Amino acid sequence: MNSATFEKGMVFFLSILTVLVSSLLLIILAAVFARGLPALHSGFLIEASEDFGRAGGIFYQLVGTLILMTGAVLVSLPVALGSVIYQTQYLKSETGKEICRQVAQMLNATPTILFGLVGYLFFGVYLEAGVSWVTGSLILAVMILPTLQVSIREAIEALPDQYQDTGMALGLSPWSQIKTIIIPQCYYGIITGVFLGLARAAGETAAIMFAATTFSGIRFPESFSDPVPTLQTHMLVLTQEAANPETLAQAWGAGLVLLSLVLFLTVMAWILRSRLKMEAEL
Amino acid sequence: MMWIFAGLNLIFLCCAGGLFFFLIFESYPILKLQGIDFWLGQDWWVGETYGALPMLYGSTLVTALACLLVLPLALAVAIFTSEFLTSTSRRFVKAVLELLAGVPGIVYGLLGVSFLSLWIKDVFGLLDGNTLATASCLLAIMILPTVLTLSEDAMRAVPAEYRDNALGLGLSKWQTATAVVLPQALPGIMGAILLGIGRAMGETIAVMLVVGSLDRIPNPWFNIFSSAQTIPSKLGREAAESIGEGTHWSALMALGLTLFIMVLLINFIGNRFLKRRSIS
Amino acid sequence: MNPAIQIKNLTVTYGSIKVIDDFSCEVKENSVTAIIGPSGCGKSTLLRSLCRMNDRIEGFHIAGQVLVKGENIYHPDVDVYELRRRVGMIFQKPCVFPKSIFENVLFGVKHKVDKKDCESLVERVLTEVNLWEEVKDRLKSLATTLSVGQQQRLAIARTLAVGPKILLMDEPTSSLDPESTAAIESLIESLKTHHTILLVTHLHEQAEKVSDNLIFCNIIK
Repeated sequence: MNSATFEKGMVFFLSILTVLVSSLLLIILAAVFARGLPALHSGFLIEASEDFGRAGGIFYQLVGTLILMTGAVLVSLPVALGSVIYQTQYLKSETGKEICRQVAQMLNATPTILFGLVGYLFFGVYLEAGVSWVTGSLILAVMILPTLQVSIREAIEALPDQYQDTGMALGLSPWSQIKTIIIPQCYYGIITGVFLGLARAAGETAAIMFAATTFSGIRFPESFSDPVPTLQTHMLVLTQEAANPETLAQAWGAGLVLLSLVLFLTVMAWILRSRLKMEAEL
Repeated sequence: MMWIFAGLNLIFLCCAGGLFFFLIFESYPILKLQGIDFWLGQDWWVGETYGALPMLYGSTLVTALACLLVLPLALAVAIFTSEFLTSTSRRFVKAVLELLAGVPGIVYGLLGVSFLSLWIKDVFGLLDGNTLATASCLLAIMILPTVLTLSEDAMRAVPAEYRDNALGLGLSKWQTATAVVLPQALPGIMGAILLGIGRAMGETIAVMLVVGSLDRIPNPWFNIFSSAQTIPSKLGREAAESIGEGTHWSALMALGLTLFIMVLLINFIGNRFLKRRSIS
Repeated sequence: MNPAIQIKNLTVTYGSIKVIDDFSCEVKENSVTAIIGPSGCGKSTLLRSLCRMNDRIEGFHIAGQVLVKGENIYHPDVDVYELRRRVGMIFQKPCVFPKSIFENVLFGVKHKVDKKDCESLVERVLTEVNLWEEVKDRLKSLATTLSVGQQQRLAIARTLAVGPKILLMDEPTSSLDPESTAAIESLIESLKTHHTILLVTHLHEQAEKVSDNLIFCNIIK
């Protein structure tokens, strides 16, 4: 066959592959939905689970996941914001900035199970927070620090240099500049970072599975030292039991809820980023 | 005000430093006890001896295999997306990839248990579908978005002049893509693969559910259809049992330290490659 | 009477590149001094050195003395922010913030001026730059809706609101059309009765028309 036909064939083949990969997400969603259907009933989201998770709903698991996510972001945001502001506005040496960059990359690449192990050791044992939602939130907070930092940093670096020059020329102190120029113009980065951080924390299992969670017995945590049930660990335990399709259907149902939550948060992050960024640039 | 921000920055730095410090500190007992035998030993009997070789082997093999599986597909789609698609379609693909990258590990684990394990069991006539091969396939799917998106970025980063010159000389789009753009983007693609490897090595939940969790080097060593064990999977399975103290805990932490250093090195080199996006 | 600015043996280097070499001069109060020369000869660097805007740049090193009203501005005890309020700077491209005209004018003094004095301050400085009549009815509209020439005058008003006696202008008319340029030039002439102005320009006619003194720059190779 001549080379023109070969090339056309290759390009066609590649396009098929691309379509396949692009539909992967849909395929996954479809699979999760199809398998979860038997368990999905109208009360799924608001009922408690019964019979050791083999029936009923996932209300408290959902609440547990939400508690961990929210706690994580609340703790992580000030540290992420403060550290990025320090690195972009006050830190002058290039070496210092490079070190911070490398540290952020290191934190981002760390296998999440290690966060769980060391985090439990530090927060749970040494600081005596025990196996609790507080320990879990703290661990997740450290884990999502790089995620938040990236969004915030992107927004700050997108700021035109002139803004900073003008602010400086008017005699504004660095703190004034941060208050009046940087934060108002860059808060879309903060919001984006928050949503992406929530999404990342929501999907994480390994970091919290023995540091924050329980499979049964607890509903709402009643104190700072109570563990919580979560969607992720609920799925994990049910999957390992994998005895019959009904049990598994519960896991799939929880999976559908979790997946939808993560996708929703990510898409929200995108929408907010473009909407708020436009407003900031008007 | 500066001191508040500096303090927050310090907290950030300490988190990372603390992680490293604790891993080393907690690993010390077992390493003092067994020394290099920790990494060379093949037997892991709780309370007696701790040998990490099966886990090291499993992690390496699973990751290498996943990498082999992912590479052709990622390159193929990256070439097509970068060189043949319009910018709107490209943005769509990138959006899908970003969403895929966010799918929780436990969902992949569930898919692996319910679909992949059974398929592999049937197709290859095995007793148990939880094998190295299963884990590799699952990981390949999981790291595909990362490797793909970074490879595509690397190809996009090749300056337009190269394409223009090639097309001007009469080369077809396909030839331009494969003979001009692809070679230029190689460092970036290397970086993409390394980062994908780093991610695959660290994945716990999905692998834990499908790798078989058998602390043995397969016999023969290249039998990918036997059950095996990786480092994160081992940690995931046993950490709950011995939290906090004891030799067992120290051994687990030493495993964690090994994983940490491996992943960090790979990521560091990968990022270095990414920085040198095109051959200068 | 003390000259407003005294520069003694100023040498400025960025890393190993020498941009200004052993420069000295005196600038009298309430005058306009133009600095002209080819591109890259260090005019902007000189201007920025007078309000310590180069401090942020890595590798910046200065030798010699720069005295503003008899005070060495590079002395470690000097409050840099206070200095920049005394020595104002206008840039080539006017940069207005995406806020209302009113808020832009007050940007540098927001928390230092009582609310009741704000309106009169805005009116005063906008009148000084000959912009008041044009915008007095739309102070709340976005500053980005103004023409480039108006934006530049707004930037000058914003700087004046902070109250500097010395104004540094780095090619203020380069981005403007001839009409706006003429407006700025007559503005400079009216400002010099109460302000000391240093003007960087590459237009010789402008320099001759507007200034009392000229400084020529040579390229340092």
